Amino acid sequence: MAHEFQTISATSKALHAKEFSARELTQSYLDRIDSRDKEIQSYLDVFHTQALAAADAADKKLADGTAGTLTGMPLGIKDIIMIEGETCTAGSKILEGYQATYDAHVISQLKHSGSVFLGKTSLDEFAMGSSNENTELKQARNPWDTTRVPGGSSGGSAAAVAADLCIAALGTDTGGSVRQPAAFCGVVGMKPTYGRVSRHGVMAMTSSLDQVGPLTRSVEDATLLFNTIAGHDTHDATTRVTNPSVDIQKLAQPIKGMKIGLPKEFFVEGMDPQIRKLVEDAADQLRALGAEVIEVSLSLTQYALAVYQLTATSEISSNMARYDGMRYGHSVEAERLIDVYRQSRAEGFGSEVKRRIMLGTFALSAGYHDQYYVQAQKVRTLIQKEYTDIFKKVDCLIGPTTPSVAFVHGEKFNDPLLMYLSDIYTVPANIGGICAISVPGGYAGGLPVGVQFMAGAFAEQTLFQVAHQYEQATTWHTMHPDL
Amino acid sequence: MEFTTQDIKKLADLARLELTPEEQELFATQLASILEYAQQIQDVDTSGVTVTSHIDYDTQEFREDESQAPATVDAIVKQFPHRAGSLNQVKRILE
Repeated sequence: MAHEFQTISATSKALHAKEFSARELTQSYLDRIDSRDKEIQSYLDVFHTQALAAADAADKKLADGTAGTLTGMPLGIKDIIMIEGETCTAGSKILEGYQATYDAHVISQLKHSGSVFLGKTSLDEFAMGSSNENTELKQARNPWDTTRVPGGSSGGSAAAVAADLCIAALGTDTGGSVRQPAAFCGVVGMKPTYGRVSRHGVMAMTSSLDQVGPLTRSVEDATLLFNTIAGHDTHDATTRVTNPSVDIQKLAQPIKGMKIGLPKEFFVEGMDPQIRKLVEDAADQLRALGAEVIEVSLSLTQYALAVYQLTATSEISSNMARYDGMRYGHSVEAERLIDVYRQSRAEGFGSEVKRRIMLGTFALSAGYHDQYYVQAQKVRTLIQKEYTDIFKKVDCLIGPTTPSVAFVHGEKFNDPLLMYLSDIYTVPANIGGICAISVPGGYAGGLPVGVQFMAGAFAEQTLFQVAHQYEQATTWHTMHPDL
Repeated sequence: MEFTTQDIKKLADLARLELTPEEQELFATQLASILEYAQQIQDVDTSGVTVTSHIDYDTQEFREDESQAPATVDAIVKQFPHRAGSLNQVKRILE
């Protein structure tokens, strides 16, 4: 069947109109994965049997009239989100062969909607990375140019959506891990406000920042997935009790009269001039739609990445302590208990995970704790305040998602600091506790560029509306790689 | 901030990580370089600023503490590296 590079909304209409069955749709995706993913390497695990069984269940729902928009939609799931009974590795050797013992909350929600899981997508180990190179399992490739990285850490999810190896995917975003790969692969990637989406059943990296977010081919699709996964969950006490969903009908409302801020600190010297030009074009596009675009200042932006590094590594050193070779995962035989810990972790973790554990252990250690961790949490308070204040003046912010296009595999691998800098524009939204989305905003040298929109905490309605209006006024989102 | 091999060994011990001599050397350099970058947060005046200790947008909801029989016990037990019946068999910690 010829049904490629379509959105959820279009595909759902076709399913309801009986143009094809959910089984045919899922089979066509499985066939594409079998033929194309040898090159893209986006899936760690493909659920041939289970996906078709879920598709059959979706066909029953379609037949008896209980189907919703997501019923029968074949999705890719980042392999840090647990699906009961399936392997969940987090891209790490320490969890090779680990079987998830329950469904993540987001998975229960998606199962309830009747969606189909095609498989688990590749990632940087425990979501630590910006290129999908930090894993010994499978390094996904960028479908626009397979010598380049897809970004990370949700690189497999972004590559799979871009190559149409799933209709949409879930990722996780702690410092940009949904938006940065979305920008590199030319798809939509959204980070919900902290407190929107439950992390129950999602392996923790930085608990005070982690959020699950959608990667899709349109802003409307991202909204559909967001509405399905967001909401209060008693298993994650950080999810807000009052958690209203986004009204999809209102995405079509014009943005005339809205105030959009262009933070001058996001346009620093040394940024790729082609990216700067495309973001300025996007701002002009918003003006053409009747919005008022004004330059604003977020003076603490330059500190966000440093705050992130100290916060993330500190929480990582604590969260990774559970992988000790005693209860599950890789376990080394040794005489003494302490050596089981030390050696299981030495063999099971890759370089980036060890580096972050070491840095976090340092930042929390006696004598340095106040200077690094505590100071970072104070600057974080100031950054959050700066965002709260700016959203009293503007409805939304616009800027680049990344400082460069997708880089060549291996180019930044040996310089961790250089690698971390690829998240310089995405990290502030996480530290600020706000929501953000990356939307295709053009091409530089044949490679996708992302435009980022940011809105205040729990202001997803505005975020999706502005992003949708921009997207619909451009054609960038309709382009896809030649495969 | 500079790290000696001894500093790195101490951190690795606290982190329960066995590092090779090559890793010790590499991390000494890389940690110093990352911290040099992160050092810039010291430039921000944070006097009187409260620490972000948790993100609180809404009142927390409390629930009753009720015991439940989880359905996943067998699946969890199955993953123990060493088990004795339904017990997780671990190393002796008392000499």
